Amino acid sequence: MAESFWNKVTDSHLHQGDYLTDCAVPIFLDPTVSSETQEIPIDVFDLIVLTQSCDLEQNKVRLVAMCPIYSIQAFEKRNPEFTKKGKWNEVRKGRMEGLHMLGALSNPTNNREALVVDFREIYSLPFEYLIKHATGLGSRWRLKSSFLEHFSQAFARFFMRVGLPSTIPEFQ
Amino acid sequence: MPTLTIPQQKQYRPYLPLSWDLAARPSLHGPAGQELARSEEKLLEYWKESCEQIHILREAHETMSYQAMLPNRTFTIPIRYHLRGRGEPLPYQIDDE
Repeated sequence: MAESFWNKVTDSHLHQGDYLTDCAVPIFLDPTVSSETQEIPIDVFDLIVLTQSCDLEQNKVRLVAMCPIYSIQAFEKRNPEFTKKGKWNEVRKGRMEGLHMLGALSNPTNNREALVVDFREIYSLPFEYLIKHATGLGSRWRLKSSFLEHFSQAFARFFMRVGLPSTIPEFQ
Repeated sequence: MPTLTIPQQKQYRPYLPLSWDLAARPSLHGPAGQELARSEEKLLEYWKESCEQIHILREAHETMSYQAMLPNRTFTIPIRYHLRGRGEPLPYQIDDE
């Protein structure tokens, strides 16, 4: 029996690895274009918290870093090449830069219900808004240790990568 | 002589599109034959390196190739910006022991 990646929680504290559905992400428009009232788009995403729990607990942050999280089916609809054999295994093994796979919410043995996080899209949303939104959701999923640390490390590895101008030739 | 072949999925190596049967054919004799053998080896080496480069580039391209996802939905709200001036640093609490 595979262990679940997630716990269901109802508390009002925000933690790294909290999965918040339907978060409102305002899209910035250049304020210098007009001094009049503007219509700004609000995109709605399912997001997962990246900010460290200790920073969130001690109210050290005004803004919380989040990344979008998708179902495999939704991702394939936008990226049909991921339906090809072997693509998701590359993501599963952590070989697809920018993407991180997390187990299904309630059925960890079903890999078609797994979720995928896009580390290339990082949103910062106000702490107060997210607390209010999380509380309003009633219950939500929270990534369990050590899946949480693995997720956090994957993001760190993505963010800290360094591109070199050249490489040492491969040994034959 | 080297011949172009289709790579086999199970045993893929970057330079597999080229296979050769150097061992099978009779060795080349004479200065011209040796010169030809040297050229053949150089060509193979060059081919292998080129294929490996293409393989690396293709891998790199494949790892980059996905579209950012669209939001679940989008709505608009009217807003008015207020310029509040340059942002100040936030208070930074130093945890001295």
